[in-house]
Amino acid sequence: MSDITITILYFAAAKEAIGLSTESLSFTSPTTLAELQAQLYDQYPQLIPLKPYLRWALNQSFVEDNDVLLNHQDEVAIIPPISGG
Amino acid sequence: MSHSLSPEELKFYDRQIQLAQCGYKGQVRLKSSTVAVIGAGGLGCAALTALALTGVGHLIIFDFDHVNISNLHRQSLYRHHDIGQGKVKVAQSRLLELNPWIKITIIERALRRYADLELLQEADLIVDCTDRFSARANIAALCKDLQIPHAYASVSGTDGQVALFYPQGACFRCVFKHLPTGGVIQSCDQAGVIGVSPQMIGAMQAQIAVDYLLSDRPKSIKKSSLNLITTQSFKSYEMTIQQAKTCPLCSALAETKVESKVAAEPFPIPISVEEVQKRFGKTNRSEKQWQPIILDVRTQEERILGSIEGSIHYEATSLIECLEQADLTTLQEANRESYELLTQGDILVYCARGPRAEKVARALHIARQKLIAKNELTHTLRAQNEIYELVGGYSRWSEQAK
Repeated sequence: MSDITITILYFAAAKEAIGLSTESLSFTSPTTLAELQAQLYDQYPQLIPLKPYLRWALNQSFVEDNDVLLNHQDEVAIIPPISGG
Repeated sequence: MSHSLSPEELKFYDRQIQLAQCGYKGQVRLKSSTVAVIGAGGLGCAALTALALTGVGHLIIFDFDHVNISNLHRQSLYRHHDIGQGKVKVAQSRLLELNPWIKITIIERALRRYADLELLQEADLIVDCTDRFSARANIAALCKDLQIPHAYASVSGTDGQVALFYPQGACFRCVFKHLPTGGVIQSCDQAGVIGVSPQMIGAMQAQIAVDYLLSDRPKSIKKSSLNLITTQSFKSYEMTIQQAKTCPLCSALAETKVESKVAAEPFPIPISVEEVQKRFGKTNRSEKQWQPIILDVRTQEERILGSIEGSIHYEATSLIECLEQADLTTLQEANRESYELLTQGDILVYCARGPRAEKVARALHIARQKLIAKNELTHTLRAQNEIYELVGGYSRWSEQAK
């Protein structure tokens, strides 16, 4: 199987926490969103305090089931609630 | 109010009436609309200016806060000589200068989850320009109760979110079920913001509001979209949102089939330094001086540097732990002091800038509601007693005292 490349978009507090608005990650084996999440929390522990509040989106729709398998060129967005006004 | 347009108004709105999307009919439709704008801060100033100038006939404005010098770089309705004035009063007079043909009702306090249902019944739309999660959750619930759309926007740094939630479709809580308290995610006052961003996002929020008012106002739309805007790069990312089975609001509605009082969440009341000082200063015999328990939840180190006179001290972390872990009977036995606190009258909680006070006030509020539910009212605690959180905290208090 060829590599799958995923684009990740970070918004608001998630973007501020890791200092990046987007990045690409490649995987050599089939990967679920849950696995991607675990890898990102491991890589960016500063995201952990936000964990209960973050919404994850796949190709512009919110994900209800984290066991969904990611496909090549999928776009994952990490969206925290924001309160400022 | 007459819903036809005078010759002067026709001239004022001429460029808008020329536009097919609006026209004379649309302009009259705007004039006969009532929109409630909750919050007259960064988003609120931008949205209110646009809504007033576009010709929304009746604006109801809520805000409990007073104009502070740190507001002026982004809240364009206020000027230097307005510092210390109530925001809604200044906003009202400024907006009427801009458009004398509209009506403005002002409410100088925070929106109340139940008490304001009746007042908002005539609103065609609620525009959420608040800066705290508790207020946003309240507005989402109110909109479900009243079956009116919720024009939502929020801003953080250069990122914004804008959405129109329809009454029978996905709501704010379908998107964000879990909302943080206590500064995990900060507001503009705590995290800082470049003045341009709330003005851009507030204008977009006004645009979705006006689009809705000019439309046929469909109620049965289920799907909405949440627009994620990055003001710095003009990027917009559109998320499709659907009603969630696990939404705390929509699921409560579906189960109970009752349209009112869904998902009652206890929230403490935000109060400004100016309002507290006004209440403390009351010497008029007909109005009794306000004497809440003043609760400082900062650390001992912070308290040494100064505190509000007459305040008592409990550190936030240990007090919350105590309130959250114990049931009331154990609390009464294990931590008599915290239990006593619950049984007194009004409580005013403060920390350095606000987040810890919000968290403690919420924990106190939840614990006290349990007490009230068990009917354990004492001679000092009545059901109408409230928990207040001081907005801006000791930092704003000491600024005012100078």
